[in-house]
Amino acid sequence: MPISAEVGSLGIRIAQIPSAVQSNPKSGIYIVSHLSPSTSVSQRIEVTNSSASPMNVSIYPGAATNSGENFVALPDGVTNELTSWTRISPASGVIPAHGHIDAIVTIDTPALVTPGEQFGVIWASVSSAPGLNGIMNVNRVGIRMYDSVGTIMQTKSASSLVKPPWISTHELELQWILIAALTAVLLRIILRKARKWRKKRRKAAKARARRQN
Amino acid sequence: MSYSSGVISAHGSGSATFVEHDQTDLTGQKSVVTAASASGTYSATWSPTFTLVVPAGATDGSYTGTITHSVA
Repeated sequence: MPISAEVGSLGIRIAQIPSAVQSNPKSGIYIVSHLSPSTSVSQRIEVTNSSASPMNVSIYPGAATNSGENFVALPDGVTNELTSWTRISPASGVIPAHGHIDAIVTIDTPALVTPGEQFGVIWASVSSAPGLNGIMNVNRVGIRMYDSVGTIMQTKSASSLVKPPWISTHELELQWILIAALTAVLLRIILRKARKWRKKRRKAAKARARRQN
Repeated sequence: MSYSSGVISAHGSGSATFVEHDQTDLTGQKSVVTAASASGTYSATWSPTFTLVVPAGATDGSYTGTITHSVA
């Protein structure tokens, strides 16, 4: 039973590489990023239609795994943490014949994240209406996402949580307060000692003067 | 339902070795064509053939399904 895929040629590509990952050779082909807690990363992609007819396209994130360099896109509807942080604008649109549309992929990393690697795919998908044979044809092309997440601050277990940045900032402030307080205490001790030593010297000088008289 | 990719034609300035993986059961998610030793810009085209075998004891009625081709 041959089924013809009358959806034309659909393409997807990276249209803008964030400066932070420009040196990574994969960044021109895939979405590659290091995600810190409480940050947002945006990147422009382009979805193209090289056919002679307009295309109704949906753009959405999907989950993937990458075990032993074997990248596997998971079936439609499967999600992971990365897909829950990813939004695409616009999420759908009509691409004119021989045209393209731009979309912005934004990854909003929450404050509390599990450190590690996350994988996904940004899919651009077109569907045909079900034919007389009852079969609907869906074609989708995707950009892989390779994202490392978080700076590991506690290494007790793989599930340890990364502290949000404000905690480390406060810790730094606390350190400076402690150093300042200790310095103040040391200065007071030194000044007290100096005063006592000066008193002793004055007393000794007076005693010497009395003896000489 | 089975899937046969047929002849795979390669295009582009790069190169890759394309391997077809014909499937006899399309339940779930299956790899049908893979590329190995890929370099540069390349593409591949093929016209697959789907074969549906209706079991002898199948219940009368209308059946529907979705076939999704994914490339990433």
